Amino acid sequence: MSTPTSDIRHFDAIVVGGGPIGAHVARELSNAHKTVLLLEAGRAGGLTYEGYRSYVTNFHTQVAKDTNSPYPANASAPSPREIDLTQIDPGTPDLNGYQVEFGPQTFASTYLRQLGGTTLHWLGTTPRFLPNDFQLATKYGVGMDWPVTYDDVEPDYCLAEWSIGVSADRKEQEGIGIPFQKGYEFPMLPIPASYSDQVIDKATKGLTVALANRRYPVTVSRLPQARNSIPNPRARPPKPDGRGIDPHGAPYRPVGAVGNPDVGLRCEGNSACIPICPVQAKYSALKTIDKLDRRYVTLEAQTVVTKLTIDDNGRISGVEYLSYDTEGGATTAGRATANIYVLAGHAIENAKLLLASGAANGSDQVGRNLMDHPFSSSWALAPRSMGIFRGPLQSSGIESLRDGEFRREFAAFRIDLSNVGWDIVPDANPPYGDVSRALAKNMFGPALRRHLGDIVPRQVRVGFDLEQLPESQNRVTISREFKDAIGCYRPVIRYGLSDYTWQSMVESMKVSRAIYQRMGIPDADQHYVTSDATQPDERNFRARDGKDYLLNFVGAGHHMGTHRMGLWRTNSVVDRDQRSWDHENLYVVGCGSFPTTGTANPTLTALALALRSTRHMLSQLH
Amino acid sequence: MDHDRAVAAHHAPDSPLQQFVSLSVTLTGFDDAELWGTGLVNTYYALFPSIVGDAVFGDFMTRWNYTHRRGAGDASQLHTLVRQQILDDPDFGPLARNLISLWYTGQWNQLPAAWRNVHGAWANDATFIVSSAAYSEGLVWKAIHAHPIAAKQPGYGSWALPPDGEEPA
Ligand SMILES: Cc1cc2nc3c(=O)[nH]c(=O)nc-3n(C[C@H](O)[C@H](O)[C@H](O)COP(=O)(O)OP(=O)(O)OC[C@H]3O[C@@H](n4cnc5c(N)ncnc54)[C@H](O)[C@@H]3O)c2cc1C
Ligand code: SF4
Repeated sequence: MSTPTSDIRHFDAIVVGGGPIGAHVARELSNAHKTVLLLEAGRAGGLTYEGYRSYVTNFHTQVAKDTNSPYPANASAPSPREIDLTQIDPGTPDLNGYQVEFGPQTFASTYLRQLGGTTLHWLGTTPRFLPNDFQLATKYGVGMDWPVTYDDVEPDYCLAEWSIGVSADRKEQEGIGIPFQKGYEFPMLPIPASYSDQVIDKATKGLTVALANRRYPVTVSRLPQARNSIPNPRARPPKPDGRGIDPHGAPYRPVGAVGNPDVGLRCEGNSACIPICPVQAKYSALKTIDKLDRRYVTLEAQTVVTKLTIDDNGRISGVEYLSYDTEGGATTAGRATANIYVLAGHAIENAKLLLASGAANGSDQVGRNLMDHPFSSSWALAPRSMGIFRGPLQSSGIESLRDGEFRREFAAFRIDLSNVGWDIVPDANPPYGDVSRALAKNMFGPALRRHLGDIVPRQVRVGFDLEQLPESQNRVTISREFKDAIGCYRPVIRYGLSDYTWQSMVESMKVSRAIYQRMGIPDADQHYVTSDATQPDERNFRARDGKDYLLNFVGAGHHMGTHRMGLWRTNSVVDRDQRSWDHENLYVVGCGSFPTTGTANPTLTALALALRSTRHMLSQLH
Repeated sequence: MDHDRAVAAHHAPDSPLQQFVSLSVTLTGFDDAELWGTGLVNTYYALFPSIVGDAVFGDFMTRWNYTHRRGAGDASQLHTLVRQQILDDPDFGPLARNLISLWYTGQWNQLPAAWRNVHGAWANDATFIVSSAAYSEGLVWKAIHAHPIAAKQPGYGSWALPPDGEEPA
């Protein structure tokens, strides 16, 4: 399997992974006229309009409509799927699907290995972190501080928001504690709040809840979203380094579908953002990849990087990869070299690749501190129609409980409000589940039609993205026993939650109850947890009030922590520029670099960090 | 001429196709214009016997004709008869529920084990969604006053308006 030296190609940079982070790194380096080899494990089918549309049709006809259902399975670059998740028996690993899970809790989050990465099926919610999220240890004595502050990252937040196209309102975001540089405006006006958001907003005016003996307001606000709305005519772009606004720059122009740019210029309310936006009004990394300057970027899909090689001086000397023609078919080995190497293959895959290469692990932190935003929800039946199944899956949230003194004791949370009712409630599966349940009762004819029209539009679901602390035993490892069809390591995962997060789940119920009471929903129509063996994660928890609670949660898809950044080489994998402490020409980028989780969906922050890191990369390449 | 005559016969009030439509109207609560409007009448009419065979499908339609004639002109009487003669019937109930499921969701559900024990396992009897069009035309979306997820998008900002019959928030 050795490669003749003449075949070895050399570039300024090799970027591993064609998701949003890899795409942005490739763009910044190539715009500075550096040659880039962008290697992508999955297929590149989404780069033509017809290819992308075929995923939409595929989604329509899938019986199980989970997050990866539109995208053809790929044995050569497998991805985790929700339908493979089960409750874990203590002591017995769960070998279903791609991930090997040792528990105690199931790590119930997915990602997608295909060009465009997980942004093909992400929701596209893009809040910034709060300043205190970067300083959890200093402010509240838990977790760890980041090696950068909010102010360090702020200019790159602006650049990231203009790069992917975020619709939001500056004033509204300031109201929840997000500072902005002078003169900055989001590129597009906020996506309108759904009717159900408006009902909840009205009902909760003036509502406060007590958390650890202090009262906090419950305030509904519109979400920042990477989804096309109306361009803000007053907004001007940030300057190229993000510091200051370019007064002569043009207002933002929405970016439409790849290969069909007049489609998708506005969100059209397909209510399908996860798992696929049919019109591509939602940002996906395909939009960035489509515009890469191909004079400088060589894109190779169906190429799985298997190993980094290291020379005697501790520099990375090359990447080894396997490429394939057909999924699950024969592979060809290859090798390429560059001056710098950038891993952008997603938090789990980056850690796997480092472990498989024996790289960057002087601190023994590679793969450790695996975190997510464990997601718990409550659900209820409103007295009147909420008009659900219209609009993006979410359009508003409650951001006012993302920070406070209570974080000394338990996790903060971001609350999202569903526009599609009981979407992730165990076994609810609206509206199909509602049809099956009605048929099981032998309903038919006009009575069936009326019944569905009455109960489904009244569904309300409130979800909590909970914070999780870094813990070294929560980790991804590799093992010779567990390999995929082409001989690459499968991720082996050990994962659990600490009381910091479980207690917060109990607190979250109080918040739900307060909201539902304001909406006039009787107790009998409020639901918190159903005991259900099909739920992967469930536990009886004795809370601080001495009572026992049955709790469960699902994953948010926000994998973080597996190659965390820090101030010291002894307890982190990369430094503040996301450069490996151990290999000066290696960068490891993405949400895996986060030391703590905050409560914001992570991708915007990962993009801002990546843009920041590209400046450091360029300084090395000059 | 022959062709016209064939089409006319096909659509005659008592033709097998029309009987299939009238059964569908009774089971779904949607009128025949709404069902024809989905463009799927002929698809489902052909699909049923292709899965369970002509004989079973023929028996099912015979039972409907009998029920329909007995209940003619009296809606509440017909409703009771449909429940007794069709939905509560171990042979025909599962077929009727599958027909409703087809119309509401575009999905054929594998028939229950008890039914298969009696009538045999048919090769095409697996759970599947008939087509992208069948998915998009699912009547459940109309019943819940919405649009099918990932199809027939209602347009920018439409979600901010009150649903039919509600006041602005
Ligand atoms: C259901 C769901 C909803 C989400 N919603 C949101 C949201 O609303 N907001 C938010 O901020 N985040 C959201 N996320 C998270 C978001 O999708 C990720 O944070 C983001 O996609 C990470 O970007 P990435 O480029 O690091 O990794 P990815 O997007 O996963 O891309 C990595 C790429 O690398 C490739 N790759 C992997 N291994 C190799 C290898 N060995 N060789 C070559 N290539 C490789 C993969 O094929 C893939 O294309 C969601 C996630 C899920 C699952
Ligand atoms: S609501 Fe529809 S159009 Fe808008 S982003 Fe989601 S899927 Fe795309």
